[in-house]
Amino acid sequence: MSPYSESMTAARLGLPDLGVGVGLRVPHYRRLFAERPPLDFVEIISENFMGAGGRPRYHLERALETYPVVQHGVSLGIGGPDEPSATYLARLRELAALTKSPWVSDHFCWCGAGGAHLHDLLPLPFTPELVRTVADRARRIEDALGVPFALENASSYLTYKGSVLAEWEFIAEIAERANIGLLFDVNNVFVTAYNHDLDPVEFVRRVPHERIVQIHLAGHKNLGTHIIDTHDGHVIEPVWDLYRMTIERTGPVSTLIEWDDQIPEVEVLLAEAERAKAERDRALTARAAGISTLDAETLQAVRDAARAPAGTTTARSHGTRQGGPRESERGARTADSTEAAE
Amino acid sequence: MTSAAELQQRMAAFLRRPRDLAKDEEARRFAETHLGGNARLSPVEQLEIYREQFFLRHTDSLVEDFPGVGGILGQAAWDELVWAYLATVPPTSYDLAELGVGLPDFIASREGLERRELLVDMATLEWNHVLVFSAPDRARLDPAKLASVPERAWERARLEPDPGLRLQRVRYPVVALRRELVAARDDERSEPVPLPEPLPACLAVHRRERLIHHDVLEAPAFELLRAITAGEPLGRACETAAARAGVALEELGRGLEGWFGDWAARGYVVDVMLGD
Repeated sequence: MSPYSESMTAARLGLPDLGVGVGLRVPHYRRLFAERPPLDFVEIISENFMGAGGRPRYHLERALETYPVVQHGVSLGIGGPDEPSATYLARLRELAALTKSPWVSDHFCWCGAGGAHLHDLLPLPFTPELVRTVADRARRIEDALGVPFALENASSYLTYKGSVLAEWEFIAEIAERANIGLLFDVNNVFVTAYNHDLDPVEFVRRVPHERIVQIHLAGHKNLGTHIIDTHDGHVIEPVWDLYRMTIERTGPVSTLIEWDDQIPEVEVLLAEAERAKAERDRALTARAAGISTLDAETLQAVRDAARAPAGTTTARSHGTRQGGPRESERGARTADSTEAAE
Repeated sequence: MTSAAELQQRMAAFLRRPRDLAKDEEARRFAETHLGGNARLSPVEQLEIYREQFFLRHTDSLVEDFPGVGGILGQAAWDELVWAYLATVPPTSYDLAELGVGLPDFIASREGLERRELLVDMATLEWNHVLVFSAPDRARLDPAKLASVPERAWERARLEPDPGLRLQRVRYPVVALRRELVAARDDERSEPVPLPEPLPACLAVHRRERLIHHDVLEAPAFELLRAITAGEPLGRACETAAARAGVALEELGRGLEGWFGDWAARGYVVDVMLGD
């Protein structure tokens, strides 16, 4: 059987392939805007630019002058007990009108309850109840935004006894019911597989490939007992393998490198994006030839890498924050009235 | 059977608890009932990963926004304050930048804090920085519009303040102190920063050209600006300001032209609306 999906749905839901981009992060602003290195697009964290003015808005305008911009959110909490905030959605819509983002994305997750916002991507129980809830909300959100909407598989550190669906089934069912796109995070597949003793190869095989409108790649921190999705290093080799496996099934899909902590010099980030381009080209060439870059031995090695060894130990992590450091006054200059303003 | 919403409500409450959930019997029972666990981590240890992340993430964000408060307190007292704050005042906004909205009031009401007035001044200053940092951009008041206001209309005119302007009376020289504390934090070899004696001042914290300024104002000018930003028409604002500053209305009137010139140049006021 061909590994490529057969479906009436157009690849990427008919949305454009933007190539390979990087997450736009504060430490890189100066050089990216001044030197304009060749990048196909940048992704912004929506919440960092939903305020009205000041430095964030100024830097967003510089970004829009320099690169195509795609919006990605981290605070919607689509599967939470509370309906998504109308104010939040109105601001998201305003931002999308400004950025002309070809799609807007967030995560399959919940972020808070009872009025408290936990600023985390908490995993959902994979149940028919939540399939209905999330699909219904996703449809309404896409209507409210007026832009194609996509949801990303989040990494997770716990499972629920009440889950009755596999994660890929949960994702596929919601995407089909709501007719939305998927932002497929290949690193999250690996993290989740490691943390919950799943088969990452099976995960990649089973998601609806024609709905994947964007791919995320990132590094992570392996603490032995579990992996934390820190986005603080290079993409590891088994994740590159899973990425090629995905591209061989989807065809060309916009791909993004996320690097949110221990953020390196621009050159290192650009080199990671170049690696993504090379891996993508390799997978697309194989796809065109009707073959795969991954033999059975490689796939087994990926599965083995995603299997936590016995006798592992736990080290403590530090706080992770999607999107890297928030732009704040700390990074801005202040002046007293007695000092010359620039 | 527990609905997803009930499960999430209970989980959210556990994740905001300030102590290790592995030592919390109620959390352990909840986790064993609802969470899977695996051969490496028990259900409550899995839950604890998220609780720890909650505190680390929000502590980092507050450290970023309140370096002056942290510098005054020192690490141990800062940690204690932040954990108490997060447990008492949960974040409610999608925007992490709004996390510190309640910190000045929380400090003001916290028992047993040394140098509380200094801490409140600093927390208020740092919260004002957050507010003006991303306030909406507004064009400065058009001088032609200002010139076109008839003399007789000024008494009932209302002035619209720049959203990037915040007014603050301080009891301590917190602007200079904050600069020293941030420099000391960035230079680990530096000596501890001595805490200052009181030095009251009236400040306008204002963003101009993406730079935050701390303008020192005379008390009558500060009070007039305060009344104007509260929405009072100019005539009444002058009366309010004179009373608050303890000066005669005529004396305040003599300063008006100069103050308005300064405020227009700095962009404190972005529009003038004439009364009926």
